[in-house]
Amino acid sequence: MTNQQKISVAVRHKPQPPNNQIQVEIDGAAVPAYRGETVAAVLMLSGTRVFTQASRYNLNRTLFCGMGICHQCLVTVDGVRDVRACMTTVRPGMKIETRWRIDPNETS
Amino acid sequence: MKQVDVAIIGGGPAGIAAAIELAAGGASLAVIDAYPQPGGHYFRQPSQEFSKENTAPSRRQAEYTALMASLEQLKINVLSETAVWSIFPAEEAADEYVLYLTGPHPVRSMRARYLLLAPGAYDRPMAFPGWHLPGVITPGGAQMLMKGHGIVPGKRILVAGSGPLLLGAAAGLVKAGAEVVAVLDAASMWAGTLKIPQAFWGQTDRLKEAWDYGSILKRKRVPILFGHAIFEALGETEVTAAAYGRIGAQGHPLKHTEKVVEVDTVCVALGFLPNLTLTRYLECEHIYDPILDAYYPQHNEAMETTVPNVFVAGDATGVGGKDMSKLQGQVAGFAILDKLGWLSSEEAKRRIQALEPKIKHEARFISMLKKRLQNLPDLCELIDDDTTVCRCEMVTAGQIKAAISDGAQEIRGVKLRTRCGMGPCQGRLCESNVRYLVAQETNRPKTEVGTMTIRPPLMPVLIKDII
Repeated sequence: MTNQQKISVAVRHKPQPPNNQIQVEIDGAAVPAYRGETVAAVLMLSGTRVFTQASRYNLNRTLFCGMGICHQCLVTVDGVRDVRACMTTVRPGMKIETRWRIDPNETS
Repeated sequence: MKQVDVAIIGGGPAGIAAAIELAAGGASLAVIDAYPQPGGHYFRQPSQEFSKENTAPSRRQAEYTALMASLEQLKINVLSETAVWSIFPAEEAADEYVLYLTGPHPVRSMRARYLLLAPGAYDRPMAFPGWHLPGVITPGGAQMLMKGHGIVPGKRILVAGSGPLLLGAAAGLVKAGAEVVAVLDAASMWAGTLKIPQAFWGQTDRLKEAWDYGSILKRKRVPILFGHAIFEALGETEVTAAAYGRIGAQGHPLKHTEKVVEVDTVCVALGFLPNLTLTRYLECEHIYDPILDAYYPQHNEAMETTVPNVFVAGDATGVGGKDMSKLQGQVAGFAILDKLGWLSSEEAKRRIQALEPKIKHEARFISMLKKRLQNLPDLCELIDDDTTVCRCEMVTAGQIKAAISDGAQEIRGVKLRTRCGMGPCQGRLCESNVRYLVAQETNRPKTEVGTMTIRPPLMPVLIKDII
């Protein structure tokens, strides 16, 4: 994953109280978040809408149902794989990794 | 092992209503709920930290506060962020159950004499070319962001699908500041419209709600295009545009009417599917509703399923909304109190009968919705051979059709040949579309092509939590 500036299409329309701010890590980069937010919300806002990239199958996964049903929002949280981002609340210092299941340079 | 009279699975309006009646009636119970706070989707709460600054006073919020106060007062035990990963008959008593739980609480298992299943419903997945792309979201997903966190999912949004969710979803997105480029409703404008006044009689609160949605969209000049559908979500790794146009009466895309619009998000609303994982797992009988094109658990007037001591309530029995869910929860509560001996049968019957007028009122609205849904174009016609049907295992419609040619005659056969339904969602997203394909390709009714078998674990669980 390159470190280019990510543009987010998701935006906040209601402000968070500033004293709720914490910091988490997304793919190694520090990202601000707020207490009580789901990992999915933080990912969306940080410009990381693609949670899983599986280029070989031309398939990329993200938040879909928001209810814990579809399991499309799976990410790795603090080393534990296949965690549903929409059902997980952020904690200070949480390490979130989006899942590159298939190496994009793989040709076979 | 913790032992309760009743285990309620699902802490939404139905589960809470039942819990209140049961606790007030003297039963011991536990409410098991997957979310951080009870309330389900209707009362979807902003996180506690967020809500202090941002919760506008409203009737819904006041109702929620009152319900939470009741739970507190009756000392009702709610296990939040907890899921049931399996249920087995108790060894010592065959008509009692042992539930295995996963979640942050130390309670790993629990015994219950009665089960009340109130797991609700989820957005029906609408499959079409490109629906797997990041940027395609359901109203549920959008709501989680908007209601839960004050985040709007995108800047330029196309809303498409059919059914009663569409207008509300679009209005919600507009209110949150998104530009909704259009609302595409598969139904023709007159489909069921003439029948609406009849069913809205006495439903002034709902009429107002629909009117409000319409006003919001009109004010922002959001075009509502009837008889239209999305043809494809376009983009390399995420949505950057959408192709759409008119559909024929059967639902097939009329390609010559195709237009392309730049959007970053597509919100697809196709109504709800009941969450059947638990009722299927427990082998309750289900009935197929041809208008809603979905199975629902069979239950009697006391909300008991065909499996003894297993009750259902809420949207999982047929989507009827918060008020119906609450009434059903109460009915189930009274019926279980009767079985426990905490209420005489006459008193239980009297209380249930007292709820009848309200239940009838709700049932009329549901029947109106069904009339509007009759003879709708089948949006499954949008699926082409390259469309991913099983998102978990990345199985396309073409591969499913090949499996059917290869000999699969039922959903199970497709599953065994393609792995459709074997992924993390266990068929929740693909079953309805696989059913459509199998029925169509084998030229049989949807009720004759089987279902996905449900086996534990019902929810993802780490090995360390099982051992």
